[in-house]
Amino acid sequence: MRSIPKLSFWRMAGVATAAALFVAACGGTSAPKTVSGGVVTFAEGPNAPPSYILPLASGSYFSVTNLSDFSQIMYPPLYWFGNAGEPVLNKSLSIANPPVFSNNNTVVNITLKHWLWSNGTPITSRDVIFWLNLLSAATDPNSPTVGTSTAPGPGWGAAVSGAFPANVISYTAVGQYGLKMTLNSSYNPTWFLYNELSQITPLPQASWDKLTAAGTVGNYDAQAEARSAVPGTTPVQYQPTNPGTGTTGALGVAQFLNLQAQDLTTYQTNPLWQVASGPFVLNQYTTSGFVKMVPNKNYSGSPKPTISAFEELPFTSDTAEYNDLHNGSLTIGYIPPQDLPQKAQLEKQQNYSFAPWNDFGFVYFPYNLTNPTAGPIFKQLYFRQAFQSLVNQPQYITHFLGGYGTIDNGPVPTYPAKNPDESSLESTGQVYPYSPSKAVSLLKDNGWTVNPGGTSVCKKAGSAAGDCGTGVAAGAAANFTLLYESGSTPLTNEMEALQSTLKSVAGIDLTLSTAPFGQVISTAFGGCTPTSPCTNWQLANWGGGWVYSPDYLPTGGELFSTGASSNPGYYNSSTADSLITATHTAATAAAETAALFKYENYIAQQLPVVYMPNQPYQLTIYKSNLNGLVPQGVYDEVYPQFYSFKG
Amino acid sequence: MSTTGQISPADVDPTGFGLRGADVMPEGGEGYHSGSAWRMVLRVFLENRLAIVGLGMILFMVLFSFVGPLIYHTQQVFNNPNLANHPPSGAHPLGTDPVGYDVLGRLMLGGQSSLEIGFAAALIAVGIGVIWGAAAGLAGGIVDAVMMRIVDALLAIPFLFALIVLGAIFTTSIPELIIVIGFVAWLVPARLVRGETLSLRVREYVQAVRVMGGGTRRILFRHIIPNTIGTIVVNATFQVADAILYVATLSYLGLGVPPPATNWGGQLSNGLNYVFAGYWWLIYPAGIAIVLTVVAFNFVGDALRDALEVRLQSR
Repeated sequence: MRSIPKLSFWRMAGVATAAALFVAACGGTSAPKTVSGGVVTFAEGPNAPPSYILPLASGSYFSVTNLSDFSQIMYPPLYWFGNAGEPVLNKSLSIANPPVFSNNNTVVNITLKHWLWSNGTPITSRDVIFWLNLLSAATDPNSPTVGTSTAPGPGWGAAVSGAFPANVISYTAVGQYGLKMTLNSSYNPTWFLYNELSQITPLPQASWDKLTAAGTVGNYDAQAEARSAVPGTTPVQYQPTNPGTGTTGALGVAQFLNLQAQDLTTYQTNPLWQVASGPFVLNQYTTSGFVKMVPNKNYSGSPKPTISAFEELPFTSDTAEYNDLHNGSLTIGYIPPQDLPQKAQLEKQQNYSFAPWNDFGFVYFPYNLTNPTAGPIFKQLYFRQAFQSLVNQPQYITHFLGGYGTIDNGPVPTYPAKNPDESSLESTGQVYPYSPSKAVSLLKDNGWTVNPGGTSVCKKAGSAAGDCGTGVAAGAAANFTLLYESGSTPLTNEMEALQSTLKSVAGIDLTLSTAPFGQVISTAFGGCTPTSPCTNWQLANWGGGWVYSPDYLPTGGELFSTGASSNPGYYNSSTADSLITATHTAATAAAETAALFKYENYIAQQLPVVYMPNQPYQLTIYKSNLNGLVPQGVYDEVYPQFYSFKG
Repeated sequence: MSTTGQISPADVDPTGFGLRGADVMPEGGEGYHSGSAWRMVLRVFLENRLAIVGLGMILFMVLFSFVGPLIYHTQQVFNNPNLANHPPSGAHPLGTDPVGYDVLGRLMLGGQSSLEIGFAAALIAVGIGVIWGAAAGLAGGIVDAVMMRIVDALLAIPFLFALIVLGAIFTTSIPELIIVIGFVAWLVPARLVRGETLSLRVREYVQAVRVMGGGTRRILFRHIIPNTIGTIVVNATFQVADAILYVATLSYLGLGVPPPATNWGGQLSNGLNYVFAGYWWLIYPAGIAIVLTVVAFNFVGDALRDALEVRLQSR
């Protein structure tokens, strides 16, 4: 496998950390004694319980809550990313050995380690092909829509038009544990590993290849393995010749599993979910979000779990969660920023330790560019610039985030520090700093009558210079709705402050409403397209943004390429698309870095979303007698198999 | 009650305390002219010190909420996070909240919406409940049975659950909160008025109206409902108190009025997020305002019940 030298920093750091840990472990006398057993309780986010167990999740379920902190514990991906807190491939936790690229990076060979499912059967290439077949069917643009989705098939939250698996000509098993993929072009191997092969999660074909709960297991997915070229595409894309329907073939299996995953009441009893490959299997689940996982006795990776159970507890608000911290009943929780002054007392009285959980992501919320009313206004760059100029990030960090945050300028993470992926434009200064005067002048210069404290209106319709822009009618009001996640005090404060600033300075009137996390993302990721516009939201903030998983290189295809599943507001720009594509095929490390910088500078300047302060995923506080938590997962993933209690 | 000669429906005192100008003695004792009756009600009411305190507290809250902002000027539309969470001081007697609003000014603004919602929702609840209950009681038979089974069925739904569901369906604004609470809270007055109606509909003056050809609508609106006025007024005061609590509960659950509007429940809910930070000024003022107002309406309601209940008047 080729690698990109710019990532060697992280790789070397990971190796150095592992070496240091090894040396420390060999030291013997200083290693803390641990005991087996014990239950680790983990606080879920406010109003954000896991609600989808299937790893093949559509945009509506594609969240850290559902994937990184829930289903991946039971169904780890083929390639695990995140190693000792660094954003790199973790070879030891991966189910397969690193891929081998050949033929000018057009052929990929994968060899699986000989791991087992929880029922004792081996994880084979058939299980990988099963995933690929389901993924192909679920992302085929020609697949019929199923259920309430407007996207083809049940959907896949990481889908990018023309990318994986459409960029794969064929995939075939090579023996029981081998797999060969032929690609439609030569791709940068690191990008292909970090952003394409990273999407694969082996699924237990021998248990899950069914069309109904009462039906027998078969090879219903197999028809989707044959692939056909999509005419008129360059490079030529490939789709399954026969993806199936909502009730037959691979698509039928995907939809059956999707429906089973939507039935929360059966999680605990459904035999499907008892077959797992991760370190833990599901033991208990309630619809309110209580999760109990117990060790998978057949887990083949290392280390093996030593705790007796890992429990995730639901909370309706961060205050409710803090109550549990206050009485010391949580093993792993988070301090709401407003309670940071109590940190020292909490550490002392309840024997907690503090560790902010930073991740490889960025914080934003999207514009719905398809909304018939707001979309034409949001499509105007000057309007987005005015909007962004009224986001007072330094103020939010100081007053609402307890000082734990960094200014977000664009799509590439600010963490880890000195991230080599960050361009100088992103890492120095602020592209659109807080500037009320600039915001007002941008609107006035583009045909708006600005009414501070009231509602600004478009005065000069048209598409010429100085006009409001294409599609914005005279008299159109700067009056929008913003749906945001309930239960989070910092987010509530940020949204109220933003609402106030927008209206008082520029007459941009926001009507705020709240909903639980799951409802916000299911609303926002409803498959909005120009032909099927979403009228039920204009701005939606689920209280986070994006952590780069499973697109571990921040090249943005899953977020900003036209039609991508996780591009909820349907931002579309041919320039952005070509800049993203250029990051996929760069032949050298220098070319890759240059392509990435071009892309991120463009996205930082074009503002397809509203950038908000980057903040830690959570301000973690954990029992001091817990080993194995720190460093925390850089992609927000959790590692309960590493946890143990000090003796 | 014995009567002599013919009487017309117009002779019947809508208050039920006697017949206009008729020298007759009502059932249960000596009759009074309506003026005398109301004077007695007022006298009994004013004898109740808690009622006076309650009335004074309500008056204070109304003045505080609606006249206060005219005297104490604060910015309650646009916040200033740079002033967030300041403790009480000369500039901000009750401190500032997490986004920098002056808490005393916010309390006044919150009082406006809490009282508006309280009064209006109570009006709707009592209005629907009275008409429903009186109609059911007067109709009797299967109509009564069906109407009251509907009430029973709705009463079986946990009140908070119904409020949350309706609050989640409707966009939360003051008018919508009024409607939601009003349409959930009418069940109790309906039951009370129906019970009163069952007793009133067999009274002689009701039968007399029927004999003289008075229609159902006339009986309902001229004789039954006016004679339940005591029950209605007492229940209405409790309904106001309950509505203030309901809106506080909804706000506590995040279903209150959206910012920059506010109400006491929402303020209390936000303040509780800072309970461990020791920001007492975000919690106590709103909490005390809710408690005082609810208690005041309960004092007044209790006193009105005493004053309007004939047997209690003779204490």
